[in-house]
Amino acid sequence: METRSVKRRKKKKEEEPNWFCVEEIIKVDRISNLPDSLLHQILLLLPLKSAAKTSSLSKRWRSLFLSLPDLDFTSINDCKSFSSSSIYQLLSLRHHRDTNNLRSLRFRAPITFTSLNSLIRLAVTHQVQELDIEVTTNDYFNFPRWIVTSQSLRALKLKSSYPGFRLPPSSSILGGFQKLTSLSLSLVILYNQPYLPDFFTDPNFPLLEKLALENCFGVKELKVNCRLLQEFTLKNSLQLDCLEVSGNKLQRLKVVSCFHSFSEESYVKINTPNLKSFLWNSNAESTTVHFLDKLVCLRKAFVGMLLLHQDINSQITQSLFTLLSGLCHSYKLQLGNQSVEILSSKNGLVRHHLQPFHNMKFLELQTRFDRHNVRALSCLFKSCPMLNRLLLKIINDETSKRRQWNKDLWDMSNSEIQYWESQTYEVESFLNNLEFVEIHGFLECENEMSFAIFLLRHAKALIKMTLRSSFLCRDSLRRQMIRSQLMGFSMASSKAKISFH
Amino acid sequence: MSKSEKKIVLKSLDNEAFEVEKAVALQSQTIWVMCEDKCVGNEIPLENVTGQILAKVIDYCKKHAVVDGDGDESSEELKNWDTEFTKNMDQSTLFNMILAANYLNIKSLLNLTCQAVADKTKTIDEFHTFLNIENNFTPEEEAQICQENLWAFDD
Repeated sequence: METRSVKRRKKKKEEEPNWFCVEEIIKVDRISNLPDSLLHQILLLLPLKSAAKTSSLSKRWRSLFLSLPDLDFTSINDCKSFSSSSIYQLLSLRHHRDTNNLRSLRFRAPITFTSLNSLIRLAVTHQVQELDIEVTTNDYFNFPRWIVTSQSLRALKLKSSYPGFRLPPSSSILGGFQKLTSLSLSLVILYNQPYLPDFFTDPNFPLLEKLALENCFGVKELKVNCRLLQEFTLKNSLQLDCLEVSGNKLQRLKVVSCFHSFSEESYVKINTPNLKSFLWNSNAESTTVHFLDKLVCLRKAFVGMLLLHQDINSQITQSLFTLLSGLCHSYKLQLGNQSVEILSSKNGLVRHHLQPFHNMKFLELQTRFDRHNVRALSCLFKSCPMLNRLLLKIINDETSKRRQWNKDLWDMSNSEIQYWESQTYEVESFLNNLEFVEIHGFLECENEMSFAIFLLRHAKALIKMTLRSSFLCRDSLRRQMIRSQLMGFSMASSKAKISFH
Repeated sequence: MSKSEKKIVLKSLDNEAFEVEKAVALQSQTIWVMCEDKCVGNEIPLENVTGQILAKVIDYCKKHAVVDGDGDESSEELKNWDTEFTKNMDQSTLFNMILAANYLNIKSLLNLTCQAVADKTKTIDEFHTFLNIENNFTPEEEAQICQENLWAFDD
């Protein structure tokens, strides 16, 4: 076999260099004079495959590659000779005695449990600090126990595709993870794990700052209580009934697609006085959320519901009202379409009163903006006396039965306009503070036209109204006329500008 | 603040002096620390950087100091400027820039210059021919290394 070095020596004689001729003449190897840390930095900017090739350059470069602090195998695609044993072999070549030489290891690979176990064990002996692993296996596997006892591991991300993995028995897992600051698990089988409610607590995770659990199957009850935890994300835990989250340092909390067992009693207790951001989306509508503290630090909140029941009963509306009153200190609030529907239902704002959002400056609403939503929207605006910015995203699809604005019959006797006019006093504070309005999906239907006209006539502080249509209008002549109609109003605010997009 | 306090003098290895705005120079963490310590006057000696390289570093810092205040609009333009900045740099300048960026601790410049080297050495032959790295393996050793990491050499 003719090795590349032989080939290259032949080639060198024939070939004219084209990058830097003077350098080539005096043959200075400048790059190898750079210190290891800088050469590592350059190697880390190359895909791992190219970096691996530099190991054949010279002895110096071989040792540079073998001490590369971050190994990211995820950039290797469609390579026949690459498998999990390639990773094992590369790790075996590294010097064992160098401390902290492996900062991070990332790979996505089909792997057997035995190989995964030995690979992780090897990485742990190299004192790996960050592990990011996505594996495909054919059978259930157990959480590799080397991870639990590692004294160097700071961050762990373990994702499995079907059928998932199990946590080890409590005897070997409790008291572990002493150095872990970030943990992310996906597709964990958690049936029959009686120790689980007390698992995500300080004794096991004394340094944990970030926790993400996704696709956790079988867990009905979960408690998370870590002193240093700042961020917690829970996704797709369908069987969950009870969730309790506590932590003085917790700032960001996301709960998405959980509680789908439709148990009447499903509840969430949140004890996080310093929460800054709260996202609640696609969770079963009947789940009750209790905030044990006033969330006075809250900056932004998102509330999206998954509405599966046809009729919105009083329990559903009660749950939403409890949730919203817990979020009353928020600076920004986003409400999904289903939440607006619940507020618009006959059990909604007609019966209940919303607690005022005194700090709220930014409100984002998704709605079909049907006739029955109008009243709920007006109640919402009344509850946001200090609002500065309103973003209304109108959903236009086949199911919306919205009426076109009749430009010829336009007059102040239109019932929608009359309704809004009757609310002028109720929403006075809102009208006095609102500066920016943006309406997406503006198709000049009756409801949005009436609302836009109402704001132009009464919003005293208005600076800019932006109207975006989701697609090109069918009738541009009609649109032109409606636009000039809107522009022609005597506006309450002299600074107000309308822009169409 | 008087005008002289806003300015700072950087002195290179070969005694070339550059007067620059403080905001420009402070993008270097090293200079920032020196100023914080107040162990230096208005003149900062930089013992590892030649005047030729320092001039280029200052060009970079000036460009980035101005644009940082401007917001998103100019980010595209800045990116193009960065590409042009390293595009025609010869090899020795580039490596000296890396060393200077490292010494002065300017993260974005270090990234930019390392990326420029990485971009110019996509294939292994480029490493050999352009970077003049002498191969000190025997052909047997080299074959052995290819075997060790077959996945990297299989194309």
